[in-house]
Amino acid sequence: MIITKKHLSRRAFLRGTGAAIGLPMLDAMVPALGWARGAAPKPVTRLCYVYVPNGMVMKSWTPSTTGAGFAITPILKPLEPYLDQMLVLSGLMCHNANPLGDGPGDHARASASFLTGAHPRESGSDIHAGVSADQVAAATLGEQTRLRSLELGFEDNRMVGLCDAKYSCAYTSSISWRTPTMPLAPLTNPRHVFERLFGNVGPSTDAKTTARRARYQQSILDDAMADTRRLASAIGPDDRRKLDEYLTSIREVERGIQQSSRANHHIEGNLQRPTGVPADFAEHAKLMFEMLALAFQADLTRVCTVMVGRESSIRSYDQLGIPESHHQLSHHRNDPATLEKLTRIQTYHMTQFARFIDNLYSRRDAEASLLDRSMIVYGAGISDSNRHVHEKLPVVVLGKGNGALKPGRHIDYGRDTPVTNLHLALLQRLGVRQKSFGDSTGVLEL
Amino acid sequence: MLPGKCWVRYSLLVAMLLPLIWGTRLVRAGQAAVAKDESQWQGYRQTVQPFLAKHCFECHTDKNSGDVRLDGIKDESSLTAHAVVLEKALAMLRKRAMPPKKRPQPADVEIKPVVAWLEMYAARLDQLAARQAGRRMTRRLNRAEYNNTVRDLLGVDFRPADDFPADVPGHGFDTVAGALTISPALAEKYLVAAEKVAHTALFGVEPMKPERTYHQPFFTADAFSKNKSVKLDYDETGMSLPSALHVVQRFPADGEYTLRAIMRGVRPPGSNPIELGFWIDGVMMHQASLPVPTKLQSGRAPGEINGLWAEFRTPIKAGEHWLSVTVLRMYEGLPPAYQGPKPANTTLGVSRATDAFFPMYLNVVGPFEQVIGPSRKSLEKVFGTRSAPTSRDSASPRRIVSELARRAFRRTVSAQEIDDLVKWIARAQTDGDSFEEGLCLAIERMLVSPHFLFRVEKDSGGDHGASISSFELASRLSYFLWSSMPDDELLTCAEAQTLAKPDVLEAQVRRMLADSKAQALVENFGGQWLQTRALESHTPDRIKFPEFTDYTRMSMQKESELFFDHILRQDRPILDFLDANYTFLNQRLAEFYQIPGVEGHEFRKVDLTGTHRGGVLAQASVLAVSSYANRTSPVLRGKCVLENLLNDPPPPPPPEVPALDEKPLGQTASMRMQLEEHRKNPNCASCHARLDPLGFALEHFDAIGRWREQDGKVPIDSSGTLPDGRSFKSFEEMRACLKAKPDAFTECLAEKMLTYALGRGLERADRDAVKRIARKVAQDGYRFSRLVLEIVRSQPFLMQNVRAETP
Repeated sequence: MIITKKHLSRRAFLRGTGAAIGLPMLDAMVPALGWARGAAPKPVTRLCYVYVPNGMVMKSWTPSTTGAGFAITPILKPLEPYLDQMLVLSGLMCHNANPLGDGPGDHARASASFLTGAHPRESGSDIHAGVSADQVAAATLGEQTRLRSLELGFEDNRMVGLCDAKYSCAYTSSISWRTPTMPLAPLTNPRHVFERLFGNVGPSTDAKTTARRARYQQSILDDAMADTRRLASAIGPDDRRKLDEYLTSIREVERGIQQSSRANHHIEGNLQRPTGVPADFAEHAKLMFEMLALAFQADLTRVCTVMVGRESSIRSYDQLGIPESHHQLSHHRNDPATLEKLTRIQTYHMTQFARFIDNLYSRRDAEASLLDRSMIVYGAGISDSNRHVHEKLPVVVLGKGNGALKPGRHIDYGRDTPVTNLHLALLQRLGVRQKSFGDSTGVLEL
Repeated sequence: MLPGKCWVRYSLLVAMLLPLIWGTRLVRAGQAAVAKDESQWQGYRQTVQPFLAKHCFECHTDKNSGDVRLDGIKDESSLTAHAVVLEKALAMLRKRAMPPKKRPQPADVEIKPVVAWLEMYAARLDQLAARQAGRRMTRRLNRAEYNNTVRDLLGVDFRPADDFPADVPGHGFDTVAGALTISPALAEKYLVAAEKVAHTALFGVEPMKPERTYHQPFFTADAFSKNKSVKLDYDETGMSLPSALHVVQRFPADGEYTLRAIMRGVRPPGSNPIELGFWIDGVMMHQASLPVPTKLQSGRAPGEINGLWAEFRTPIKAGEHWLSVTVLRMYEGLPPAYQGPKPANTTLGVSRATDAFFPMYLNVVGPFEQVIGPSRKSLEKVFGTRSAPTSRDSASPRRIVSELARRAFRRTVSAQEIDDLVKWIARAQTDGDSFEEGLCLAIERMLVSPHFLFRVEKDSGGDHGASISSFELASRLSYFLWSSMPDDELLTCAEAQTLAKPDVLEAQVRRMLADSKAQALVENFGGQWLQTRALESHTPDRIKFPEFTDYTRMSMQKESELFFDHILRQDRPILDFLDANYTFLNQRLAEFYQIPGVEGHEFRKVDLTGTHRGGVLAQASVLAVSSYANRTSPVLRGKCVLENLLNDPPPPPPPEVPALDEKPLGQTASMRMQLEEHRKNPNCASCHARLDPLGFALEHFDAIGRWREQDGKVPIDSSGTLPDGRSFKSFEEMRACLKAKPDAFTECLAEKMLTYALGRGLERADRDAVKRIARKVAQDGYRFSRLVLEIVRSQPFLMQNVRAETP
């Protein structure tokens, strides 16, 4: 008798072994950045949003004083070396994560509205939210890079059933929305990320074959687009949406192929392809963040979102001696023992994130560190998870954004400032000309 | 009585959302129809509103009452907008579940006119919905469907879509169109997969360098140290022992692979050599012998075997395989002092065990001697078997391409489409490439076409309720039952326009159910309906439940699959899902269930008479996924029963309700006492009165599905009373209660399966179809095939989903 079981293999057994992406080959990549063409390169800013599920123990997060020189708190502790590189922003809210007349489903609404500022439609299949801030940025910043944006996630298990009340799992598993109906599913398998960034490492072929192959690919995609357009015009507008999304996606793939042939992102050194999803969370996170840092440095993309877990994640943290599911714990009823466990999980997440910041700090981008060139937002759409509170959210921004940010402070905005004001402030600093975003009421003063 | 609250959730939800979904077209139509008759609002204001104000407004006006707000109805349009809530209120009034028992109860004469009016209003909305409900949506293939389709189209079975981003379920199933999203990352995967699939079909797997795959399954020392004694009749193959290593690996190519197992642990010095068994797909392929060191040797203490290894090389076919490394005859050959079960010939039936050693790692390296070239199966799929093998010459490209395109696009193809594909062959040949290379490009081209990747149902331009085309029907059938493309016979029926004929349709459905491809229905529908798919990533507390090894997990899932498969293949009554006196077990699960007489790792049908098991509710898979990692949850399990078997899902708890106090559980208080405390809160009582009894009945099963008499220090009490007044003393009696009202279950399963088959959430207009299906199923002895047949014959399945009229 054969016991076959799909997917368990990847999650439970395979260990990623491809963490051998080291520094040596990076220098080899610098010439590939593409701005050595003539004029002095204008420094590029990178934007990244890191989202954590199931809220935050705010009393272990929020610094007690505002302004510069605040004392570090337990959950922020792993970021202590970067006090002068961080902005802790208190008092932001995600108003559209509230029911506003809809039913339960605060988790789904939190992840769906955090970057979009939109109130997601309560539906199991007819999903609708808004365009997310990262995608607005990508529309401009992404023009120059092979990948307009990159979406990563650290939770790889298959979704089963309904994810949060009447809401489709699409809401809890994506924070990036290309259009109000097109969430971008994060890549969770390091091997897939590797292949997306660096291409499939197949048998080496000569330049002529490669060029011909690229030409064929281009025209296969052209044909597919023509097909899709024809088909779309033959059916009603409601049925057409998916085809339009396909069309947009193919166009994006084509653009990527053109970009890569122009920019020559040739990567040398012994890059090893990861074989799968590491069983260990920290190892998984490290590998994903490592590749992200690499992608930023090599200018393969300038915009990324990371979901540390799906919203309402039920992951358990055996490695911390915590067998209960994260979501189960997040309804803590202010029980000190439960809060302690939650704080440990949240600090653990922050530790993985801090390693990413280390990584960015250690990488050079011309005269500055990569961190100086970046704006990295870490936050959640829920503060107190026990009651699903969507105001006074935990948000911290790392990096100097090429001088656009003046970090090293804790700012408290009270309680009624939409988090979209922050998004708008960052978008404007990235040169996106936009006067409002989502439910923004103004530009956040930073 | 309404079939269940599910309707409220799906159909009325849709009614409420339609304005958002379709711009404003439908709601305008809807409002127009209602607005013609001003008496709706007048009637409501006269008959219903005073009653609600008197009995309901005290609670149902603010945030605390969850999603049920009754105070916002102020005119005709807000009445329409509150249809969902009103139908909820109707359901509660009918059941007399509201107002709560502690509140003043309205008299019958008060309730009657209110219920009558609400029923009239609901029926009115039904009529309206029936005229304009439903919508077609273009649906992409999900991952399982893509894998199966390229397998059946080109004989390529390396499951390329496993590399696609995960599909997101909607309404509980990953066939639901709206939830199947598309992204640039996916489009890129489509392109990569198309090249690889086409290339593999025509030229075989690319030559690869050998790669090393490391397996280190999770183990816990507790699984061993707890094992202080061992039964005489222990599993000598080692397959079901905690020491066994079990993994699943996907092999990229036919070829030879080296399997190396590395040991860890200690065996008493003086024991016989360790005998290791290497198994592939449950068949022992190799035995190796590892001597136990008797003295200090290269840093190892006597008896220590850390790092000792054994390996062998063997041909393995591409695809997924189950690999095991086990210790054979684990307790034999110990020194006499250890009184191993047989050496010491003890009469006690048990003896001291020394099992603190096991294969810890498995490294697989390969492929070596890779088999190069296309598979015979692929060549047949591409070039066909009907004509002579010489058909590959240049005269036949058109025939080959058009035949492939017909299957890839699942319909007849136009001459223009064939021209567009054939040109790729000419183009490659102009570039100096071979015919096959050109054909490869043409196939790639097909595989990124929306006609392949999507299922698009075209508007036939007919009236409401027009039948779908016969090709569309063929695809609906094959993706429903096989999660794959229609085969030749289905396409031929479609071409002949005979498929929709009742006798042809029935014959085709029966043929399809008998085909091995119907396994897809077991895996994809069964695994999602009962959510046993979640078992793959379910991680119970490893300290508390060391017995929950990967082998246990695999076995649990296999039991549920075999059980579903049996009901399908033997055409058993679907009521077997609720209660059956048989199941399928291997030794591990049988021990788990305390059922004697099952030896070895092979699954077999086992009679359950006289045991506590029988039906899906007593299967470890279902019990485990409806538990928390560290304890059972009567609430989760109650929800599981209501949602998956009775179609009566409770709403999620309103925010800010106190959660359960878990601290004293199993110590000074039972789950029951804690939940009874919880139910004192009237906000909680109305739902928990439905949830808790069902969950309590299952309390004898622990968080990984084993039978228990006590929860910690507290004895289990599995009695309870259902909301309809029937009470039970045990799980078996509760199960009998469910079985005594088979309609609720039948309608539930019909609705779930129809949702899966249609790939959309059900709506008001589908309500009658579900009832009709359930009725027919009951009339035919609840046979499984009848359920499938009636779904296929139902109006929603056969008819084009009509669109709303544009005003």
